[in-house]
Amino acid sequence: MIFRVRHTTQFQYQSPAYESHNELRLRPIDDCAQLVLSFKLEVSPEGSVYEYRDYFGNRVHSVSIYPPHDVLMVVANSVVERLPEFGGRPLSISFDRYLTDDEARTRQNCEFLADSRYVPFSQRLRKFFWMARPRRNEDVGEYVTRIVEFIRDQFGYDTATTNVHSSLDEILSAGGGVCQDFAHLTLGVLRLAGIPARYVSGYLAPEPGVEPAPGTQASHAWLEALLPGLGWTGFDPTHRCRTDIRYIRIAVGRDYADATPIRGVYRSAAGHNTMTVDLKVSTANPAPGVTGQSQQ
Amino acid sequence: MRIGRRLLLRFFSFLFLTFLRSLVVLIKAHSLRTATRRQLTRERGAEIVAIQTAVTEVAASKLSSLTPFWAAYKAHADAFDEMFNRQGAPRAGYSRVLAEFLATHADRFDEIRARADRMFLNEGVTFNVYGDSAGAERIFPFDPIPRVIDAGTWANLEAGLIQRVRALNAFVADVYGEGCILKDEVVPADLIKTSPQFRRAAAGIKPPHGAHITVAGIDLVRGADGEFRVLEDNVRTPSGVSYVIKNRLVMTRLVPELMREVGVRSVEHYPADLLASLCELAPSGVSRPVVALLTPGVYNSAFFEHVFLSQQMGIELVEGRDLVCMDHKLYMKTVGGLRQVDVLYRRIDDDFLDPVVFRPDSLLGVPGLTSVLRAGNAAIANGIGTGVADDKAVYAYTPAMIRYYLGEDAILPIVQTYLMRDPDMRAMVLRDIDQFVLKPTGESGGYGVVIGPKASDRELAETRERIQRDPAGFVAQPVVQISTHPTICGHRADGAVEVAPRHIDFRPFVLLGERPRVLPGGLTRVALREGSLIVNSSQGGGSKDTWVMAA
Repeated sequence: MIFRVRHTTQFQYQSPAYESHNELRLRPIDDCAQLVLSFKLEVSPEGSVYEYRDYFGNRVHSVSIYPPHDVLMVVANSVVERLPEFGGRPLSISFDRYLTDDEARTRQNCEFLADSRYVPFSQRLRKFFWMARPRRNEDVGEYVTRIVEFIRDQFGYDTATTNVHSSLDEILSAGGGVCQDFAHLTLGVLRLAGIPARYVSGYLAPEPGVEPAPGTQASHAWLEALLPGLGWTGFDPTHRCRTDIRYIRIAVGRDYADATPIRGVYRSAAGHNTMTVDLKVSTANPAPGVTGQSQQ
Repeated sequence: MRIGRRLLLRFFSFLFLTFLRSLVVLIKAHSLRTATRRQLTRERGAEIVAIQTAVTEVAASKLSSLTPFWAAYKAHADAFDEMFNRQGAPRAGYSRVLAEFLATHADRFDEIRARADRMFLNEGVTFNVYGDSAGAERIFPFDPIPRVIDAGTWANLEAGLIQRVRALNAFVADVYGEGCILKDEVVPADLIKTSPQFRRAAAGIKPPHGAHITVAGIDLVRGADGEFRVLEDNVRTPSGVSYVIKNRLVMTRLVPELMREVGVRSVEHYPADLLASLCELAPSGVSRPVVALLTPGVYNSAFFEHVFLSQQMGIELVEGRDLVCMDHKLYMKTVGGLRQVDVLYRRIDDDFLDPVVFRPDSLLGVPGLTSVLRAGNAAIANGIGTGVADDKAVYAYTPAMIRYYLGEDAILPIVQTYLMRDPDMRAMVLRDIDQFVLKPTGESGGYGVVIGPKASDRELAETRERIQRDPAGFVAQPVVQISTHPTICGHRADGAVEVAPRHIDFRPFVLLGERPRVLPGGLTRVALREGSLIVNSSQGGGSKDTWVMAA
């Protein structure tokens, strides 16, 4: 299935911004699950752009704009072919057995098992984990599914209680949050249980045949757990499900800090900036020749 | 008659000129002989050292009979005394220094020390102590009795230091590149990847000629056996070299005739060597690189050194606000407009270097610097993330690192180190916690170090609890009986100065440019309190001039 994405971010500054330096993680990942057919970045005012791959393999555009400007507009245009998920089941293994090679797994994947900036192992998180801890004979794959559903049962979707910098403790006490918060919370529980887990930022395309109202689409966040026999497997706690062909991955990392879509600093005389995001993800007409593959 | 007089005049002038010429020839011949002798001396350095030592033994017995001052000196019971051997004779290298200075100027020590203190204060050679009353500047107390390292010992040290810094640099390049040493499980991957000093933003930055570490300061101590051991590596922003140069300057002014007579190797060329190493980092194609020194500002404990080094090198001293990144190039703001900077000698921690990538609240750094480095349009010394190599837990793996990258055995041994993240080692250490030195892995500068045999029961209990709470945050080492050096410590009853043994360490500096350069000397720090083992300037230590002998 081929998706066309137009992701517009606009910053409006109260007083002109200058010496603006930004790191953009907006280019979708190229791997065996998705192919980037084209990617075009438009930045206005024009700046110098340097592209590189970061530690986690994400493609980053470093954009610097020197002269003063009132508005910064970043448009990322991607055409992505999303290949069907493998969809297999993980190897059936109970926690007892899974934890016998915990040490080797820790050596291999320590950074996805350790705490991180947005996923600190706080007292509150540990208490929550205790409530949601795995049973000794529980299957590892089933546990992940159970946790993803459990977290969404406990916490409501609420855009008012948290912001992008909210900590796990705030979510735990507020009892609600957004996709990013659910992802972080799930990461925390899975890591404490000894299952390597990483954060994913990306887009969720609308259901086929559904035309979302303009301005209602937003970028999304979920997570991937490293499951025995299956590798990195996507789970979306916001929608209580495993990820499917509609999930387009942009960046991965330990948490939001490693996969932030736009991060930057600028100088300005005073005041705030307002950010507006406009996202359009649509199904493109499949190109002839890839039809068979993409509609399996 | 006239013709005769003129002839006579010519004859005499000819005679005079011939005399002058032969004089010049004579002088030349003499200097040639001296040079040849120097050459020979250098080539046969080892033998000459041996002969000198023999002479020394004789001289020493004479000396002690001649100078009751030194006969009264009592060496430490267990530690290695740097100046005298067990029989009381001066060690290699000290004989001339004793004969020419220490024995003859003993009555001047007080005066020399007082004048040195005044000179340091007048020149502003001061440092700040964190955790002390705000902004109090102190001079680094100076002890005029120099520490001497003979040429043979130095040659071995120099080779060991170069080997070590090369391996550390290869390690930094590896962990931010392929990660071979982690894949081969020579160093545990989780130790590195969960280290607070591991900077993911450094991945993929390739500095010119692979130099991540340009400046290294390696802390060495001498155990009871007299062997130099590495205590700690400093490959982030090591400081202290300005004291090495200033100490020498003060010594040279106070006893001018001495340096020449005893044949001490010069340290004054360090800024020139540093500048050369920095210039070698410039992007290719830049023939006359612009170099600047980035300081966090006047409140930094090493600000004096930043001023001193930038002046000595003739480069700009800048703060973050003086620099700007534009089009992925680095510029400094000057009265004549923007000027591109090719190499930045930064004396500011990674965390504060670039708010785009590191702490966003930092006002000390340069926004966008990391991407300039990544684009290869400028270089910095030291590179981002070098701290991963001088972590106290990583230290335990340095001998393995040297074997892995260089295929050699370590020339300089390390102190046995137990990682508290290892449950067996932890159990062993916690059983006899009062027998070990316990060091937090993240800290430097002597902060947080607990010395088991000297700690109170409460301190030990607290430390035990902290180790159990955060095992990976600590390492333990056996207590090293570090060497002592005669040091001026107050006055005797008769008014003469009292000289007693005090513990010392040593920080030599290594520059890793296209070729390595080791400063022949270093910072000898002395723990001025009796029995104290902590020599850090921030913890009430002093310093000595360090004399590396030419032969």
